[in-house]
Amino acid sequence: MRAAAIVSEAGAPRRAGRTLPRGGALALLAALLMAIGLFAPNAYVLEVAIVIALNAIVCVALNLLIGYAGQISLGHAGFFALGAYASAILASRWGWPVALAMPAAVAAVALLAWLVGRPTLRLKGHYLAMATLGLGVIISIVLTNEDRFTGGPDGMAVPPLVLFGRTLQGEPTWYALIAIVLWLTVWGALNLIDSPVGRALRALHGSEVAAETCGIDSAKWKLRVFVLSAAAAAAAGTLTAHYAGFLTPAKASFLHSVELVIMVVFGGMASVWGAVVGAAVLTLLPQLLTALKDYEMMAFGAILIATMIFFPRGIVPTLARLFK
Amino acid sequence: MKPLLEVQGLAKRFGGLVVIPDLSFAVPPGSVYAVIGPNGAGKTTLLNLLTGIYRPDRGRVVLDGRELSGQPTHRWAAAGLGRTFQNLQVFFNMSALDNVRTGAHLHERVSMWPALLRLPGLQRAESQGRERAAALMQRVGLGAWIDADADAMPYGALKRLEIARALAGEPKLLLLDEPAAGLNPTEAHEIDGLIRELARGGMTVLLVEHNMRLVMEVSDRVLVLDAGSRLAEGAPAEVARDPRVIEAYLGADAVATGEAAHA
Repeated sequence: MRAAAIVSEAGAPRRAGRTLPRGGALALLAALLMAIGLFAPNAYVLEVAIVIALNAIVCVALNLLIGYAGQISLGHAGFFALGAYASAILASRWGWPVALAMPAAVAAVALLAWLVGRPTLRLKGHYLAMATLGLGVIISIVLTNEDRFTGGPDGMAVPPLVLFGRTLQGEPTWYALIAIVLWLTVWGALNLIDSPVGRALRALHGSEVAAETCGIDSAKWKLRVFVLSAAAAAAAGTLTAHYAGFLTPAKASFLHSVELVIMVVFGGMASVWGAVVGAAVLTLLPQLLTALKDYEMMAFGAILIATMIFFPRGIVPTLARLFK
Repeated sequence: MKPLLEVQGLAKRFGGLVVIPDLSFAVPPGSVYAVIGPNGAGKTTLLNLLTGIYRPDRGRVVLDGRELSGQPTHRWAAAGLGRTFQNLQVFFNMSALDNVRTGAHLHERVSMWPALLRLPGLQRAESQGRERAAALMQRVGLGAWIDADADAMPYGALKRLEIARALAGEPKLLLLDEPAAGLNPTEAHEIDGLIRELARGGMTVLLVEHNMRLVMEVSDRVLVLDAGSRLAEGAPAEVARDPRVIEAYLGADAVATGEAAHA
């Protein structure tokens, strides 16, 4: 009896302490996204916000893999671009309705990720990083060279998304859609982390051998989170394609994959909010630094290095620790 | 009685080094079975063979009628094997409570979609799981650490945390790899009490330990390993009197110590 009383005593404040910031932060994100939509002075601001949100969707998903499960993918730009092109090609070359082409493209990328992940994730170590690096490069080459389908380096036009008989166009409409998808992605990621699945993923990162002795099938869960994060990147890719109306293979470049990993590490590994902050800061920073002209890359590099020195865990986790 | 764990003709070598040439033993259910031996006797190798971390070169391990040799570690866990580690394998990226909740992985509904969508059924199970884990922490004497992050806990508490995590899986057989290593005498004595309490509750414990006093006090049977082979096996008092054991393990002049340990 006494033990039960202590349990509920100790358990209650903890639960309140954990769910309040979660709900509060989600409400804050919703308010911020709405405020940007309502008060953006011009279409350019919304355009930047859309790019940030799309990057943030990929980073939140990539962080589930890198930050929580401890597996590195250097091919997420490939999944992103493949999703974009698959949806564009299904819609423009084969006349699929875009609303059907998008989920089909996501499913195709998920299947590809499963095929690549299944043999590599059984191995210990950084085989996934190598395999995804190779896959990303192959995707990039295929998209550039198969110009019958992709238009090659010149790119291809992409038909617009039609939802309920209405063609989605203009920054405000697209911003609204993508902001909702971002919010849902953050919500889903927070849910996942605070669940038996999230604990299994964090356990893999903490100690794989201990995770296995807890009965966690490490290969299975690594594969599942890898497929999930690849599918989310592909979903962001399909949104990008039909929003922009035009695609080039640059989206698939290896450098873009590295950029995505940097956003995750910069914002904070194993932090959903860190991924959002990392995507926002590192999307904005180059825009702000263009004023420096020739010194832009130098300044960018210096800021990255300084951040990693002063915020070794990434921005959000380091700040969270400071205020604890 | 049918043994809970049966090891038959187990052999393991690393390159040219034969760590375990040919080992057989059986652990009866509901007992505390200790494996002792000098450094390098193959104790940790044996534990890693008994949890699927290493694959044996030869031999069988059968737990509760299920042959497990050659299976990956999580299958051994699913078959009812829980363990702790000599050099801690705590999840330092989690809270103490979440460490214990992770230990209950096998008894949770772990699937992607309910988790992503935060379905109400899962939330109910989660809050029950939280309470069970907290109760388990109370039981192993970690009541004060329920809200702590694992990386803020002292060594002695982490040793217990691993035991709580293993117990959360409701194992049939609990393997404890030197649970008293690095603990001061008071803490080590508390581990005694904990193991005895678990045994009273019907848990079968396989204890690998250096601390002779602990082994003599809590074990029902003791297996003495030397160079990976069985040197002696029996009740603690018999083993402690066995001249081969005294010579090989305790040292020729340790007769008095051995007598003191089980007195």
